[in-house]
Parts: sequence; structure tokens; C-alpha cells
Amino acid sequence: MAQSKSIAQGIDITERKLAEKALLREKHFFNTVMNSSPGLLFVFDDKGNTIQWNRNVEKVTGYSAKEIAKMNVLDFVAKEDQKAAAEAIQEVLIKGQSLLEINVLSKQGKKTPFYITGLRTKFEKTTCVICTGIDITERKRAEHQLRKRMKELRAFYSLAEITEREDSTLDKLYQEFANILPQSWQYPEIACARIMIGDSEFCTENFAESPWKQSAPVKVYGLVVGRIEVGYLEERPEEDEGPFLKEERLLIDTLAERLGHITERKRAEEALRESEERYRTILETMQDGYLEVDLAGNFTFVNDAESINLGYSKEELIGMNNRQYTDETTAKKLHEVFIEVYKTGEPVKVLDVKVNRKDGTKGVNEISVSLIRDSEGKPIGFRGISRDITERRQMEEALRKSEELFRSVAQTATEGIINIDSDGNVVFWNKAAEMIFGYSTDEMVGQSLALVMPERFREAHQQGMRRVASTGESRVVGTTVEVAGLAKDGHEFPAELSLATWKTVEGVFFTGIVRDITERKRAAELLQRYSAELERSNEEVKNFAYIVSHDLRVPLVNLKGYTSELRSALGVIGSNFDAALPHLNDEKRSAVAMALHEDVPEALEFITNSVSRMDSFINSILILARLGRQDLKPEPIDMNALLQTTVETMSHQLQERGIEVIVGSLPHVVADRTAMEQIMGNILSNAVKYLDSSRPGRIEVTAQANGAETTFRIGDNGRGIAAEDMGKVFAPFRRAGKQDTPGEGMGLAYVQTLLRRHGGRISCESELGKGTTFTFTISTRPEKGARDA
Amino acid sequence: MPDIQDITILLVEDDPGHTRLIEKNLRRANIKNELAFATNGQEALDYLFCEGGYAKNKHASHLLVLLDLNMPVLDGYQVLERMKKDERTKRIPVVILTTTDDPREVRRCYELGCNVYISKPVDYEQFCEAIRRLGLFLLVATIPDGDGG
Repeated sequence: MAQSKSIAQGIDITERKLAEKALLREKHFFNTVMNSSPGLLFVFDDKGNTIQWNRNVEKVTGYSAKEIAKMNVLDFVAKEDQKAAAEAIQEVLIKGQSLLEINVLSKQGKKTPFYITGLRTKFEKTTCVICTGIDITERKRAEHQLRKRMKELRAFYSLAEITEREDSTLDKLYQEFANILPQSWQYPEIACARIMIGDSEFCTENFAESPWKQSAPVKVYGLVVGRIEVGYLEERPEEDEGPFLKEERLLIDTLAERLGHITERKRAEEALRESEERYRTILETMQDGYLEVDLAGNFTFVNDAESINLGYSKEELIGMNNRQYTDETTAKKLHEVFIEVYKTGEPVKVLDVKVNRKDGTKGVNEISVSLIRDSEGKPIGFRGISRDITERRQMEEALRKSEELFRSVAQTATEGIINIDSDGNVVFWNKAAEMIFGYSTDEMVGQSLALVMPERFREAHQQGMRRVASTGESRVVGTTVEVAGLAKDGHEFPAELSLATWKTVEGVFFTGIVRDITERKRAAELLQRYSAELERSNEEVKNFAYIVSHDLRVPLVNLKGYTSELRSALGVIGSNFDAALPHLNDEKRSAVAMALHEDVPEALEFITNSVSRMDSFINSILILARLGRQDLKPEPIDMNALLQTTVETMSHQLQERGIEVIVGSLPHVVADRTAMEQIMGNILSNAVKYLDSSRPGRIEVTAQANGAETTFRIGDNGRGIAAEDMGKVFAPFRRAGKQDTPGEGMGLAYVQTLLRRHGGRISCESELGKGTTFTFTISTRPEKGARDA
Repeated sequence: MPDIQDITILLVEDDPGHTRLIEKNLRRANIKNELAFATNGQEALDYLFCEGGYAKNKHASHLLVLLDLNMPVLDGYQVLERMKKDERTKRIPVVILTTTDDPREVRRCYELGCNVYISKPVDYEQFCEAIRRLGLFLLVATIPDGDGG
């Protein structure tokens, strides 16, 4: 500003010489000022043509004053800064001032950074720009250094930050570190990085093998475990190490070293964490309680199991003394143990530590106590592993009782109880077994069970034992089988054996319950024999009845035949008797007439009647025998239709006597038709026969199908049967009660026989004077070949 | 063709009373044929095959057998069976005359090859009537040529 004033002032001077002098002085002053300026000072017009400059401009650019005078101001600007410079000039021309940093290009091609300020002004009516320039080479270097340092710092900072992250694993750390590495290099935009540790690689996304790379080894505990690589993807000017700066070498080496240390630390941390985790898991999952107490016996640490064991929460337990959860005796015992452990340094196991739980229940623990020392070996407390043995104690007691019970039961049992191990050797032998086999317990325990088996079964027994041992399967376990036993005295006997198996830690055991079934077998055999005999005799009776009824007829034929012959012979005698009369006296005549006409005919009459009755009986027995022998032909029968037919055949009799027969809805049955007709016919005619004439007869037939059986009921309102006569109802030739109608008393005997043949049964309920109900049951589906009566 | 009069009737019956009654009634029915008697099955077979006690016999050329079933030694079934199996005797007419009237026995006898089955009624009048009718039947029956045994 001062300069432009003085220039203006100079123009108005009229006194030429004075003015020239003053101008010269002014110019000199101006030049002196310009040249004394420590930086660049130059003036150019709005076209960029240089007008005025100081000596520093010549010094810095290396051009002579003559050269400069012909040059444009942009000629001194490095190519890369020319655009910015041109813009700055325009800005100065428009706005009046501007500033920028550019590299000044010397005649020799050297670039020097300058800080340039520009100011618009008018000079001799021309718009000009006055510029000053300060060499900022030193500042630039410092800035560069600062930036470098910042990059390095950032790298270290990032590494530190990644490392400090709690959740960071080594692999994550390597990857993240590889990702940030390029930023610390001179050309981050074309830099890539890779970290190789062992067999693993951690690369930046843009990573590619490059000829322009530098690397540094990563060492862990002095061993090379991998390396860090930084590479450029494009060529860059040569620096200290290829395109890399020596600071970058230093940086990569340092980073590699740091990474090595971090790896060491992280690995150690991980190992520690794993180890802690392991111990924590053990402590938390172990069934046994874990506890730590200080030297005074106060809890300093307990695990979950111990907390559960004592029934107190962990928080409640910390600081609690053992006296608070044990009785006095136990506390005293524990105290002694602590002293002993403190003195000897050896662990001690304390049995039967009685504890009082928070809920008031009592338990028994077993504790192993050992000493805790600090890092200098000074005892600082005790640790203990405790085990709740309350249940074990209870179980031991229960087991003892159970064993006692088993022994008393086993010893008083009447059955032989034998336990054998998986080798087949006897481990238990009760008193009954002693009785049955004749061997004492002392003789048998430890012996093979084969000893009490007949020789011929021993091999099969051994095989069975081997099969159970190898497959766990047995044909006899869980069942009752019949076996042969061999007693000490050598006699063999049938026995029944029930076998069970049980497993213990010592292996598989078998319990056999043995009964001597000699008596039972004998009884069974006897029963079988009786049964066979009974069957045979039953068969004989049937055949007997049949044969007798035939053979009895033979003499009857004679009796009848010769009685008849006798009678006709008597007729012959009688008709000729009169001729002989004159030869007899009256008395003799009368006696002969008596014999001839009365005694003999009367005797013959008795014989004839008796024979007739005998014949009738025989016929009845014959029928009964035949009913028991005849073949049945089961067929489906509509019982309604059958009953209707039966009632129709009796209709005359029913109408005459005003008897009502009510037939309910009857089911179909499968039976022999003739037999069913006989059964129904006999029962109905019986009911009709024994009705009470004092009231109208009423007979009711109903039936009920009940699964495999059908039950028929035929009830009447007849005379009924006296209780003492009930036994005779189904017996042959027996007729119960007052008889006013002819009959042999065979009807119900036939019915019973026929029903039995059908696998059915009949019963009778009756009340004298009220009526009788016959109830019979036949199977709906008779078994094949119905049973013989 | 033999004359009916020439036929010998062999009555096989273990009960002598029955034998007499049958004989009497056959005679009353006007049967005049020669009667031979056997009291059990074995005797009957001996007679038929001229064996045992009849070894020296030369029996009649034409025979008709009245056979009871229930007999000692050999029963009627066995006799019938042997007769029907043997070429020499299988054409001889056999009338079963027995007290049994069991339908199964009747069937069995016909299966074994008997020609007529007659039950002996216990009632004597019926018995007489049965034998009389048998006699009438025999009078009109035709019998195959005997082969002389």
C-alpha cells in the first residue's frame, strides 16, 4: 500500500529534475526493498507477462533477468500445479487476492514448494498482480514427516485397538490388521497386504501377488511362524527399497515384531482362558462340592454342588464358618484336620462330616482337605472336595436291611433258592436247597451248579450258560421249566425251576427257585391214570349197557317163548282134562282143576308181565345207550320253527286241557336236529304231564344268546317238585312226585344225556305247588365232535 | 337150480332155547328141510368148510345159513365175513337172525354181505310171526347152485 501511494505521488511532480532524482531514489528504494525481501516478489500483468521481480526469483528459477522478462509467470510453475495457478490468477483478477501452494519449476527442472500470495493492483493504468512467494520446502518436509508418523501411529493404534478387543480372536485380529495395513503405506490406494501365520493366510480383498512388495517375518518366542507382506499393485518410482521408503521398512519390521508379541500374548491368554474355562466347567459340573476356606475356616469360594449340598446360596456361604453348618464334634474334628494339614502340607480325608442344612435336614459328607499356598508358598487357606454320602449311608442301611430280609425269607422258604454267578458257581444256597439236594451250604457255595444235575444235562447247562454270557439271551430265564435234579445220595428227582437274572457291577447272577415235584408228579401221574381209567370204565359202562341190553334179551325171548309154549301146552292139557276126570276122586279133581285153571295161568301171567316190564326196561336202557353212542350231525336250527312243530304235535292235548304255551323269540342254534326235537319234546311233555289241574296250565319258553352259549328256559306253573325229590329228576327210571300218567321216568335222563353230548348242561328250579323251570345251555358253536356223555 | 326142499338149513345159535323155538316155529311154518345146528361161529365154519369136527363130513350141496350175531368163540360178524370172503361159501345165502335191532349193526351186516336181517322180537307172538314169515320167504326163495364146497 505504501508503495502504490508513493508511485502515485511521483506522477504529479512537475519539477522534473527533482522529480527524476526523487524517482531514482524511489526506484532504488523499491529495488532495495524488493531484493531484501527473503522470498519471491514479482509483478505480472493480467496476461501473466512478468513486469518486475526481485533477485530471489532469478536465484530460485535459475533464469537470467533477460530470460525472465520474456517469460510468462506460468512458465515457472510445475506442470502439475499449472492448472491451479491459472485458476488462482483468475481469482486474483476477479476478487482482488488469492493464495496457493505450488511447486516452482527451475530452469534445471528442480521443483521447490512455495507459498504464494497474490494481490491485484493498477500500475501505469495497467491491471497487475503483485505476488510474494515463501519457500516452504522445510515445512513440507516436516508435514510429510508428520504424516508418515501419523500413518505409523495409526497402524500401531489400530493394532493396539484390535488387540485390546475382548472378543477378538487371533484369526480375527490377523484379518483386521491385514485390512488396515495398506493405509500406512505411501500409496494406500494401490497397496495390498497379507499376513501368513502357519498354514493360514489373511489377505486384503484386493490382494494379488506383486513384484513390488516387502515383507517381514513374524516370530513367536523366537520362532518364525509367518510373515507380513505389503505390496503395490502398480509400479511406483524407485525409493529406498524398490518403491518403498526406508521408513516403511522400519514400520513393517516393527509391526511384524509387534504382531509376534501380540500373538504370544493372545495365545497365552487363550491358553489361560481355556484352562480357566476347564477348571470352571469342572467345578460347576462336578457332583462333588468344591470349597475354599481361609486359615480361619471361613468360606472364600464354593461351587454350585457345595452350595446345593449345604442348602445355602453361594452368597450366604462366603464368609460363613464351618461351625455354622456342622455340629460341635464335627467342627472340632475339622479344626484338628486343618491343623494337621497346615502342619504337614499333606491332604487328609475326613469321613462322616455331619452337616446341618439350611432347611434343617441333616446330611453326611466326606471331605478331602488340602492346603492352599500363595505364590510364595505361604499357606493362605484350605481347599476341600466334599461328597454328600447321606444317600449312600441310607442306601447302605437299606441294603443291609434288604439283605437281612432276603436272607430270612430265603432261609425260611420251602422252595430251594439258589444264586449262581455267570460262571455257574453257587454263591447262595438256602436251607430248603439243603433239604432238597442234601448238600449243605458249605458244600455247595463255590461249587458248580452242574454238581446237582444228572450227568446227561450238564453239557446243555454249560452251553446255556455260555450262550447267556455271550448273547445275554436265555431260553429259561423268566420261565418255569421242569428239570431233573441230582441229590447228594445219588437219587434223581423231577424238579421245577424258575429262573431270574440280575446284574451287578460284579457281573450277571442267576437266581433259581427250585421245587422238588416228585410228589406232585406222582399225584399228576396218578390223576392221569385215574382219568384214563375213568374214561375206560365210562366206555365200558356204555358198552356194558349196550351189551347187557342185548344179552338180556336172549333169555327174555326164551322166557316169553316158553311161557307161551307152556300156555298152549296147558290149553292142550285142559282140553283133554275132562276125559281124565272120571279117574279122579272129587278132592283130586278139584285140586287139579285149581292148578290147571287158576294157579298155573296165574303164575304164567306174573311171569309174562314181569318179562314185559323187563323188556320195557331193557328197551329204555337201550335207547339211553344209543343216545350216548349215536353220531350227532350239528346243523343250524331255527329254534322258533322247531318249537312251533313240537307244540303242534301236542296241540290236541293242549287244547283239550286248555294249556297256554308262550314261546318267546328264540335264536338259531347249531345242534343235532333230532336231539333238539327230543330235548324240547321231552321237557314240554314233562311240563304238560305234571301240570296242576286246579289252575289253567301255562308254559313259557324263552331263550337268551350269551356269546358262546345260548340258554333256554322252560317254565311252567305246574305242581312243582319237592326239594327231597330234586335229586331224582334226571336219574333213569326215577319219577318224582305223585304219578297219574304212564311213563318210565326216562325222559329227562335222555334230555340230560343229549345235552351233555352237545356240550351243554341242564338244571332245574322248582317250588312245590308253584311250578318248575328247566334251564339248559348249549354252546352256540359246539366244539368239533361234541363230547361223549 | 336146486329144489328148495333139497336145501339144508344151518342154524347157528348159541342159545339152545332159541334154537328150539326157531326150529319149532320153522316146522310149524311147514319147513321140512334138513336142519343142521352149530352152537358157535367156529362150529359153523367147521361145518361149512368140513373142518375140525366135521372133517369127515360131506355136507349138503345146497345151504342156507341162519346166523345169530352174539356168540362165543367166533361171533356172527366173523362168520359172515369169512363166508363172504371165501370163494366156496360166498354164494351161500345168509339170514341174520338176532336179538339186536341196532341200526348200525344192521347196516354193518348188510355191508358184510348178509342177504336178510331179521330181529328176533321179544314178544313171542311177534317172534312166531317173524319165523313163520321167514319160512314163507324160504319157500319161495331161489338159491344159486352150490358148488359142492
